Amino acid sequence: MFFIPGFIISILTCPGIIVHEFAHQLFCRLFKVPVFKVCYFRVGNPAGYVLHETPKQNWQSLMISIGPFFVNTIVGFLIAFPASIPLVKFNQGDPADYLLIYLGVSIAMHAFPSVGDAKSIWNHFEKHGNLFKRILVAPIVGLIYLGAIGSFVWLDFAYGIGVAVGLPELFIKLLA
Amino acid sequence: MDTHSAEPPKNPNACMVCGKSDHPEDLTKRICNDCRTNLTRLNIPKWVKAFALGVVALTLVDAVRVPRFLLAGIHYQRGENAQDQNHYATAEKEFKYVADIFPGSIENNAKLVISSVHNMDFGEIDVAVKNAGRQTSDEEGLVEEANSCLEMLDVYIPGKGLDSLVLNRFKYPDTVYCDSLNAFALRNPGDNVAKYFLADKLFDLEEYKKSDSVLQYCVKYTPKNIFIIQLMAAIKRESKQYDSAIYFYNEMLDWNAESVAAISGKARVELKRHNDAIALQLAQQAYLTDSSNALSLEALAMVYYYSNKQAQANGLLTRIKQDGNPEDSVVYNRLDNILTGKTIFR
Repeated sequence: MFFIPGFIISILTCPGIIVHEFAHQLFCRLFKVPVFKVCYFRVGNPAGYVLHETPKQNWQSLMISIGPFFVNTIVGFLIAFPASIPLVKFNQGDPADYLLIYLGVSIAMHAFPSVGDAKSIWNHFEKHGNLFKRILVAPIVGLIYLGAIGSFVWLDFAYGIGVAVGLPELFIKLLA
Repeated sequence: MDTHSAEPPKNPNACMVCGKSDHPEDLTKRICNDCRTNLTRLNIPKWVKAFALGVVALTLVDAVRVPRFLLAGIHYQRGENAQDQNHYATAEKEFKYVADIFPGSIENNAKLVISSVHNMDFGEIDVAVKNAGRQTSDEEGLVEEANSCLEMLDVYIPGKGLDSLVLNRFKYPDTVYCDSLNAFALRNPGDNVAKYFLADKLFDLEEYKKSDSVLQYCVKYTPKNIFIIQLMAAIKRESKQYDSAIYFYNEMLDWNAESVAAISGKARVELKRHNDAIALQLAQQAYLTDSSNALSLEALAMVYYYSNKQAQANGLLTRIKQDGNPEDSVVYNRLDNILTGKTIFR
């Protein structure tokens, strides 16, 4: 397992970060939660962020935090799908296919909510939720932390490959 | 990549964004209505919009090809599924479909080579090998399998000395050619190809016993060669060793459950045995497997002929002539001889 500094990975996969922050922003828009500031990408930690009002509902806070998981996964899949068949299955890709696979993988690998997102969920439920709700949300927060730990062993990259390459393969297998 | 919830300002009466104090009291945050409306809009910077537009445009341009490529992917998968079940006729059709869309795919071409060898489809073997060219593949096992399939064709490739004899075979009467082959095989006892050519010629000359004994040598040293097994089955059929013939055809079917050569061969054996109902079933099965294969048309035509359906038999004979490949002329002549009574098949 080799180590690449986080800021280099962030730069290389900046499309994914942009989509990730956009997903937070999109969910804020869906729940009509005011957004004060959006940083789509920067060289720093965190590489992007969305500053928004505290939502009225607990579940809205949860959805805003985990929104990128859905958006990045779907967008990553949709972008990579047209390219994955010629490139991955038949090794007959053109430069546009390589670019789309790169975009698809980099977007999908940023689907995991960040530790900051997990903290945001936990803080919100600590302040506004009862014990039962905190017990419900704890596994989600735990999973996000696991995903963050997993990124040290390239779990996020594996997920990106899985969405961009594995899902189209699975899709074809199901249709055949 | 964080989301941060902003806390309200110290002054409880001011809008935290614009500083006005007309915020509604029922909301948790102190933001006036105008600011709230403005902040809940999806304000996206132009550069993000341009980036998104670029990605969407690229995806859409590529997506135009998706239906075609998706179909290729589905057919490729179906071909692989068929190969896993030893259904090589189906597999070949599927890989041919993919080859029209991705002619340069080494994996597809290798699988097409494997399928076409299993189906003894010489025309397709040639095309697939040419398409594969000198490309390399990461799937070493696949290329190895394709090469080992192609090695079966070695029985058709005469070595030095034998090549000139084979090339000039039409200059001499069959018996002279046969004697020359025999002499060559005796001089070169290890030459399997010479023995195969000799056995084949002896079969044509209806010297089935001699042909059988020569071919036994080939079977001993290359037991898994489908072309040798096919000739062996034909020899057994013509020698009236029908059970043995069926045994060899079944060996071919173990190798390729959709071998039209084997299914139609079994139909011919059953015709010889006067089991016309079984022969009809087998001929129909061969026809359903590949209705464009000359062997399936021949078997069905023979069944029709022996069921006194001369018109249908002649129709199939015409189809072989019209739709068949040049190499199908042997089948056409053989069937024509039977239908016109020149050859007594049974």
